Amino acid sequence: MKNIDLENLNIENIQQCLRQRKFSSGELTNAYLQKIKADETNAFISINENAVAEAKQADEKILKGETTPLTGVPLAVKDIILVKGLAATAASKMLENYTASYTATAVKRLQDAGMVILGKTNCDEFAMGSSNENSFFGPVLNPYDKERVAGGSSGGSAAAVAGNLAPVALGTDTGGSIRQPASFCGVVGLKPTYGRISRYGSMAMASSLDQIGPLGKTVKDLAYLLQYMAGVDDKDATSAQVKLPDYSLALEADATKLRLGLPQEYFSGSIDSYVSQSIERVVKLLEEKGFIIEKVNLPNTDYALAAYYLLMPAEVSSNLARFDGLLYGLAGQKEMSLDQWYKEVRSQGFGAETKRRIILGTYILSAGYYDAYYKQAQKLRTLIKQDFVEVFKKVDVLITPSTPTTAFAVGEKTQDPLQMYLSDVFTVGANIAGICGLSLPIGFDKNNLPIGLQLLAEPFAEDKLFTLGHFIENLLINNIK
Amino acid sequence: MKFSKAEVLNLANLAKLKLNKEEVSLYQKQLKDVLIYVNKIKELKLNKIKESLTGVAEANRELRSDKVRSSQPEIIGQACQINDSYMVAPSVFDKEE
Repeated sequence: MKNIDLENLNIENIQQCLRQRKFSSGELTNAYLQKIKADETNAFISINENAVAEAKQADEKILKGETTPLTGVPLAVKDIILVKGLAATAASKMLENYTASYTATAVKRLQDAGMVILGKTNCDEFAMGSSNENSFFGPVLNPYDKERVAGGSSGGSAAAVAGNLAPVALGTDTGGSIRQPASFCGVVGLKPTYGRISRYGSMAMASSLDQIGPLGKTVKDLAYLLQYMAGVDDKDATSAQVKLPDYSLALEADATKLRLGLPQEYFSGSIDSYVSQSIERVVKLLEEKGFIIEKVNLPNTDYALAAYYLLMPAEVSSNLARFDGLLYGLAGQKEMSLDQWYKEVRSQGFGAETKRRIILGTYILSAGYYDAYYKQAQKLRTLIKQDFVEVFKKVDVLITPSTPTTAFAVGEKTQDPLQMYLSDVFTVGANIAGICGLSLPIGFDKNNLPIGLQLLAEPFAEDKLFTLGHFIENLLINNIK
Repeated sequence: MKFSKAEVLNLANLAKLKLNKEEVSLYQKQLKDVLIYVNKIKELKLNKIKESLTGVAEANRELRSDKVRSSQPEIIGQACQINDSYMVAPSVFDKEE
């Protein structure tokens, strides 16, 4: 077997190596699969047994010159996203033996572009969690420190990229589930605008908040993936009919023309000092390059997390009602009545956090509380949206921390759900308002754990995130601390 | 803000979940903590604000035509019991009743 250094691979240099025949996609795929077998972070739930065969098909296309920039490039997919013929467990006992009968549109588009699926990555059960400790298949450990969490819910995808088990990966982000693990694992992660990518084939957690998005080592890699995944899909009525820019132009665009803002509410309260110092350093470097960075306000920030923990469980309780053990998944016993069957299957199949959110959502939607909670939270969503609309009249991109702290210890927050929920405080706003956000690694704390910076932009302005994100990447390479 | 055991059990019943004793007392406490936190939205005056269903503008939504497209038998291939093209479910009423 060819010895391939997986350490510094990205889409462009993989493509270059494939064309120059330094290695084939089959050889590369094999190298990743070997590395996945030896993985100690529990990043994958299953591997694609046909991966090498699919890679060989990609190699044939390369020989014939029928290529896209993604042909033969391996990809890891979060196990909540369906790929026909592969297991899709959503990290739940409920779907332990489920095989997807169709493919998500986002994945289909990447497969059509020639990408090779390595396997399905671990996550919190039905994407519910901020540490990846809610997986039926066990937690994902942080590649930087195996005593710590990888973040969640797309912890497996983030750990896979950070641990060189895949060059790029897909996750889903409902309240920060791409950006928070990306931040904890030192990789780049994008939550696209609501509607930018079809949600068809992504198991629904909270339908008004969920988005599929890419994780990788560089902003450029994310731009490549978004270019192919994005766009309207008749299988998802919420996918938006909005013009798709050429993102390669965004990477070459003049970043200094962007107006930047620092939302003051994101820098008060419980944020670790090394996280804030690290952000301040980037802000200073940007100012030295001539950027004008304005202090701005998002007055309802403090309420965003409360709105999130009302809207999300309500939608969860509705969406997860479909798991009844009849059409697929865990089944009951023949002699049971329908009520017994439902209760048995759902109690055995769902984990503790899933049950907690279903019960909370049932409460929020129940008669007498619906008006006081769900309806009020929908109104609050309007205010939070307006906050962002106002701020994006003044600036193009907001700079914030991705998370209040770096990766916490395994087990540290599992007994206190509210503490766990608070780790989403900087990320939920983007989901509630439907805007796009990107988390970018900008350095390390005293324990050598990665720190993430979040960039936020108005709906469908992913190009601005790429322009500034790419600029900051280069700025930091030239200013290694 | 308080949750009685009976309330937790009632919610679990509505959600078709069976909880054991430990789960009931654990959820009793944890749900209370979360509700105290989310109750902060009651500080806001929201009566004149319109609700939003999603984050983005809802104007550019176009629905596709409602055409019948069969995805059987693939989609029911993993059902626990199938009779011809029908899925068999347990009886709704107990036999004794």
